[in-house]
Amino acid sequence: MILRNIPLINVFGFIAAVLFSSGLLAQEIDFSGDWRPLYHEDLPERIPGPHLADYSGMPINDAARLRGDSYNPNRISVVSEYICRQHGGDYSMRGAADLRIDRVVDPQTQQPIAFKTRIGFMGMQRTIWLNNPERPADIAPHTFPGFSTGSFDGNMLNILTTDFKESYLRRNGLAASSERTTTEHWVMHGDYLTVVTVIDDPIFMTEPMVRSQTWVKDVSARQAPSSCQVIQELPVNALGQIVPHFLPDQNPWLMEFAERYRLPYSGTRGGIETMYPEYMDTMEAPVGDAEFCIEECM
Amino acid sequence: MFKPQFLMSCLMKSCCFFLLFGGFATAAEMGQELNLFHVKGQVYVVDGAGVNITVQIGEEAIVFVDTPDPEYIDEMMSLIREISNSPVRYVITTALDPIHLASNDIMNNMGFRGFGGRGAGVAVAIGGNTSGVTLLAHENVLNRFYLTENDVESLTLTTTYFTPTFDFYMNDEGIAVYHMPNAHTDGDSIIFFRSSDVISLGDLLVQGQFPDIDISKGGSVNGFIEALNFTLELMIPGVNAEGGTYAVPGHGRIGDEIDVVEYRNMLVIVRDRIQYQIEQGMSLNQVLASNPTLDYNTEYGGTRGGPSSTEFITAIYQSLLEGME
Repeated sequence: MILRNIPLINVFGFIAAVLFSSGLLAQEIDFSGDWRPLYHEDLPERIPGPHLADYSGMPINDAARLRGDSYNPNRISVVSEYICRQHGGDYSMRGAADLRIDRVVDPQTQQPIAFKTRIGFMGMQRTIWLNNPERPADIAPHTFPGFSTGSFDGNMLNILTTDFKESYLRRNGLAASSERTTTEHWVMHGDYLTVVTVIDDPIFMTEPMVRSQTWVKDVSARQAPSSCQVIQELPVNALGQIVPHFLPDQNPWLMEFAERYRLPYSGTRGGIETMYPEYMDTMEAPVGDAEFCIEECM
Repeated sequence: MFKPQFLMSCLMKSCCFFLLFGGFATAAEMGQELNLFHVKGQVYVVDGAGVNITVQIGEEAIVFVDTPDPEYIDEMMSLIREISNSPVRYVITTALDPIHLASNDIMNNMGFRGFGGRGAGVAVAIGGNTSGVTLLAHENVLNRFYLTENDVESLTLTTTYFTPTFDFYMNDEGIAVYHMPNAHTDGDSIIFFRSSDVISLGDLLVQGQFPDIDISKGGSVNGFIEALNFTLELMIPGVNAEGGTYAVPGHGRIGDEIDVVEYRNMLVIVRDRIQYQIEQGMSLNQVLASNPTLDYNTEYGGTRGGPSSTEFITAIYQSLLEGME
């Protein structure tokens, strides 16, 4: 028999090489490529942008609610430091921009050690480490993308991200603290990539929040270069504020969303008490004029 | 199936691991383990001493911003001596707080200082004393120490400045010390390491804590905001508001421009609320009852030290009343 003349270790080596080269032993999925976002999920929030004071479906606490109520959209024009501010790593996955994923391999072992992502908006970049590096020191600066480590569970990539900068949970003034953590689950179905994100924010939430986003692969997609120049748009707002905000109980727009879509006002205020079926037992009557609901109405 | 002997072995190893590393964790939690964290350029931070000690380390000298409790001095210097044998030349005090200048007298014996003025060379030539480091602070730190009751038992300084700025060149880098009048106190200094692009802010930035506006030492809410606005003028962010100039806080993690912005914004918004309430004729108790820091309490008023929300609101209220007088 031919195998009798071949050292056993060479046989095993050959089999291992075949398996490794075909990826049969390595379960890791390669998410590399250019991806276009699909907006069938949460389109009103993601594309035109959320309404002011729409906190529906958000497990927020009182602190987050008052942050949102105080938010004046003039802030991003007056506070010049916000002009080139990128999204947080969690929110960036919901933006109106393409996603590119590059796989990084160790040149010695040829094993994947990271995925690097780039989002078209602001050219935001993020690294998802697969080689289990140490997390940053407590005193290290936080970043907008945060610090991400990933590991595979079968075909699913699970990602833990910490060390975020303060950012927003929703672009209407709902804040996301620098102490939040996220757990993402990346799954690929053919040409579709689904990312489920669980956000846990002890500062602004009373329980974790789950969101999901989907992309479709586009081999022809190419991202444009990105640069942002800070230019002061307004020195102060009409009230002379260097940080535009509404005083408590003086935001004139709190009812607008509920009235526009004829919703119970309490339901637009968010919080877990409004997120589960039991809320229907205590839900008050809708506010506003039904005739006024002219867009995105059921 | 695993054999019982194997499971017992694992259990024993787990216990040993827990005992061994549990001990380390306890030491760290007690703040007994220092770390030397490289910020940028020639600037480092000694972390773990209860207060952030900013250190510029170069071939020419070592410059400190603030000093820790004496119990940390040996460990701190051991960490620094692992990367530099340069002499200590400057210790800059950011404010008259016990926790920021606790070891000035000890540090005074660790290096040598220069002489000021045009006669400096002559003074050295005729045998002037060059032992000790330059212990620098704004003049108001000294004035407060002698003129008011305070909680600082002793104060060791060799040099004070009364001008808006004090600058010098060390380790091939310009170092600018700016006086921030009437902020945390009336003797606050921030230190800008220009080539390294790092600003040490002392207690004008404390991540995760409300600002300590010490009215008894000349602090004020509006001065605090002006100090942060001035700091923001100095800072240049990196791409997409990430990195660029770094800010070393008195306590807590290092930040960049956007961290200072968020801190300033919080202070401005709470100030505006209380200002409005004062204009409506509300008493301090009424203001406290209205909870004007509700949206910031979970982020800044937790259990990480610093002023409580009540102390913070009270300081702003009193500061604004004083400003109206």
